[in-house]
Amino acid sequence: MVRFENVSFGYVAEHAILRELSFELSVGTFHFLTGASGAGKSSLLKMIYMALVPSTGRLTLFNRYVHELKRHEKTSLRRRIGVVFQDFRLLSHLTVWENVALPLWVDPSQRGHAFEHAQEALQWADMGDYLERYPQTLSGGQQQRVAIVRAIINKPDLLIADEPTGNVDDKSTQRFFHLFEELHKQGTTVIVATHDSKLLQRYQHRILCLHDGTLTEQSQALFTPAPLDEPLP
Amino acid sequence: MTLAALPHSSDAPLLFIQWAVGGIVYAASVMFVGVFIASHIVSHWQNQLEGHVTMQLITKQGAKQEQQKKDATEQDKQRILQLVRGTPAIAQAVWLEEEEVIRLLQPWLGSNIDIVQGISLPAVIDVTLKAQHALDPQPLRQTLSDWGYTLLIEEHNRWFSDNFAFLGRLKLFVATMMLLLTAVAALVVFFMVRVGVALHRETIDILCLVGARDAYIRKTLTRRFSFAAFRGGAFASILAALTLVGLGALHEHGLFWFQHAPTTEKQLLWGMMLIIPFIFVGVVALVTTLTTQRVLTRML
Repeated sequence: MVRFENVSFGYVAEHAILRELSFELSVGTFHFLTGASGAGKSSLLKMIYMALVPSTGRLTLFNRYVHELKRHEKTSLRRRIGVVFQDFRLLSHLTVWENVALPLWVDPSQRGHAFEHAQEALQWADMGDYLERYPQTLSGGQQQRVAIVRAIINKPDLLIADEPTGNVDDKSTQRFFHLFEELHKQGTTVIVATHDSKLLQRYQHRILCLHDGTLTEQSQALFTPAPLDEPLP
Repeated sequence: MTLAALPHSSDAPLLFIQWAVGGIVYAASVMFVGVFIASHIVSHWQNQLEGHVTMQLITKQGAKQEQQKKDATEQDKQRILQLVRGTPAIAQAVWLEEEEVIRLLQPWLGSNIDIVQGISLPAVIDVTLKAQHALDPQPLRQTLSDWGYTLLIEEHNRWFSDNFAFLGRLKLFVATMMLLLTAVAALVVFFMVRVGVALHRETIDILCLVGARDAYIRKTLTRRFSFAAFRGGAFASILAALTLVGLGALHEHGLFWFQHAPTTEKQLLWGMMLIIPFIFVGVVALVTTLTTQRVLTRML
């Protein structure tokens, strides 16, 4: 589903923050992406959801080379990807209901049932009582739940979560991971960036470690939690 | 149900477009209709004066008004009129009475009758020429000279041509201003759309992220900017229409031409005053739409 082949990326040409990355996310897998702050986790995820373009190397998404994609083709692929951010990125002028309906609303073929599906999804996420509320009136955990529902309303093939639990409490974190696990069971490929070692221990999934611009992949069994501001073993 | 992907609030670029377009529509409407009316007034005068000359008869002795009156007896008048009417190029000749001559002089000398009476007024004949006939005044001048009169012929179109030239230049100026205002409107929209996109960059990024096509974002933004332009233009057009109707009403009560204009021309002018501002709204809204689409095509 996602393949990196010798992909490097840098905001400045001379200074690559990601170097020669090669890995693959197969269909239906669940990966954690970890590394110290500033290791390049967000940049890597941005390349996957096509907000950034690799400086060198080849990135393949859904069997298409990202370099060769036209803008409208990228849009079509983005509809197969759900993204959750640490800072939620909900639109403050829209209600909870409208925020969740947005991905369906912008797609003319799905506009007709956008609000109906959004309501169902919010009820499934136990947010049915907050349909008409605005995001800024909700707690961090509630906002993140709305953001997750918005990310999955399209039934994406790939779910990307960039530090989704950074601004929420433990109870909400467990709840989100329950949602992610549910989606994973339904066949969605999931990649979650986190530096929360407890999460890495609690959930038995493959781990991609970013350190000094390079990537190492480890299975959960081999993973030993370490302070993330120190190099991983 | 519907969903507004971008905030409804009137942000600075939208407000700026609204006011700028309003000002442009107001200025363009008043200027355009003003020149249109001026052009009509001049054309009306031209139609009235075309084929007309005024003949002035001055007694050779340089006599004063009293003397002229005495000389110009009814018999003399008839004799002179018969001579004038008999000239091949002349279709009609009417002797203007002294009261009529004084009335014609009033716009220049004022209504103070004492001043007018102090002037030696010539005998004046209003002459209508036959179409496509050139007047050869020499035989007429000679005969009248023999009878003791000096003939002066006033061709109105000669001095009126300066007004036409001025009007031509005015029309050119207004046409240039129209182009300039359209360019200013496009420029204002160009910069404000860029500011607007920068202002809503985050929302646009989220829209891209959730799979919104460029066409959708373009349509949404274009609609917002076009509506702002339309709103500003519509307000200005109502204001312009009111201004023009007010000016028209003043004309109707004060200026002779509007007062005496034929009904069809009056209807045309009233229609112009009401319609032109709204046509400008359409033009400016179209310019806004096209410019916005062009800017967004490049920016997204």
